Amino acid sequence: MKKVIVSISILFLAVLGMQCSPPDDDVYWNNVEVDIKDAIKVENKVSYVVGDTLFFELNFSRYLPEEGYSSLLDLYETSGVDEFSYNFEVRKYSAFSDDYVGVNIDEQYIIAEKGMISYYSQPAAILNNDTDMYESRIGVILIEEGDYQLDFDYMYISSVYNTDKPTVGINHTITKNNPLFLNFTVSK
Amino acid sequence: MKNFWIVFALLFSVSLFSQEEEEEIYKNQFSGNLSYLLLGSPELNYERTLNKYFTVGVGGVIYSNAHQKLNLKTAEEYSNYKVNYEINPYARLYVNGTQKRSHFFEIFGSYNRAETDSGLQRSNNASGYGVYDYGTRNIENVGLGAGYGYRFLAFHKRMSMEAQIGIRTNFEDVLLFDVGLVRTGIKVGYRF
Repeated sequence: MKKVIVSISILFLAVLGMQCSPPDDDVYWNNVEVDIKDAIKVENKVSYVVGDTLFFELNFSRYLPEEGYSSLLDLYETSGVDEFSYNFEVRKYSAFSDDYVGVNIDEQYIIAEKGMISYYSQPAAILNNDTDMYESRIGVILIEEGDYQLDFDYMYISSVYNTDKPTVGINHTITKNNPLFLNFTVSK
Repeated sequence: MKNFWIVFALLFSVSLFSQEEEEEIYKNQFSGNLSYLLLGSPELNYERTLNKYFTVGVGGVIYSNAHQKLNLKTAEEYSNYKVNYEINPYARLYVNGTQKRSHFFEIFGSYNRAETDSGLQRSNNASGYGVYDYGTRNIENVGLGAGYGYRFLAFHKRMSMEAQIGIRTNFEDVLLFDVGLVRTGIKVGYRF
C-alpha cells in the first residue's frame, strides 16, 4: 500500500510540475496591412515667410485594393473606426550638423483644416461619409526662419485602437510619378 | 494561475463534520461539485467501489461563462482559450478504505472541448467589400490529470462530502500544454 501511495504521489507531483504555455498559433492576430501610393499632396511652395502656414493633405479611400484579393477592403468596417493617424517630420538644416535634423513641433503650431490633431501633435485623417474618403488637411505654422525639409519617408498610417476590431495599417510610398518638393525656406 | 492559490486556500477553510462510523457498505455514489455550482457550472460524478481501497468513476462538467472568466483551466493568463465541457473517467485510491472517511488520490483522464481565437478571417460583406474579423476555432482535447482530496461520510455513510484539488494537462501532438485546475472544490454526494 505504501508503494502504491508513493507511486501515485510521484505521478501527482509530476503532473503538478508540468507548466507549459499553449502552443503559438500561426495566425495573423491583430493587424491588417494594405499599401497605397501618392496619397500625400504638398503645396510645393519653396519660399515662406515667418508666420505663414505650410499645408499638406493626406486623403485615401475607405475602400482600398488588397494584394491577393479581388474585392476591395473596407477599412471602416474592418477597423471599426473613422480615424486613421499618421506621422510626419519637419527637419531643419543645422550648420552644426551640416545636415537636416528633426524638429519637434508644439501642438499649438499645428492646425487641422480637415481631420484632426491627436496625441503628441500627431495628425489624423477622418472619414467623410459623403465621399467615403478619409481626409486630412494639416497646416504647420512656420515661426522660425531657416531651411527646412518635410519628411514622409517613415510615414505610417494606422487606424486608432479599437478593442473589438483589428488594427488596419497602411504602407504609403511616394513614387517618381508624383515628385514632391519637400525642401523650403522660411525667411523674415 | 493566481486564481489557483485562491481556490486552494478556500478549500481548507471548509468546516468538517462526521458521524460515528457504522458497518454499512455502499458501492455506488453520485456526487456534484458545490463550488462549481456556485459558478454556474453543473458537474455530476458517478463512482463505483471495486474493493476495499479502490473505486472507479466518471464525471462530467459544463463550464459556465463565469467559471471560464476565472481562467483556471489554462496556464495562459490572458488567453481567450475557453473550455466548454469536460468528461473525466477516474480512479481513486482511498488510503483508509472506501467505507471510511479517508484521504484519497485520484488519477483521471480528460476529454474536453474548447474554443479559442483563430486569428483574423476575411469575408465579403453584403456590398461585396472585404472585411476582416476575429474567428473562433474549436478544439478537441485529450489529457491526463491527478488529484488529491479528503472524503467525509455522514448519516449512516449515506452522504459524502469531499474537498478535492485536481490538475489536468492536455496533450497536443507531442507537447503538453493547458495545465488547468479541474475537479476542484467541495462536493456532496449520495451513496447507495
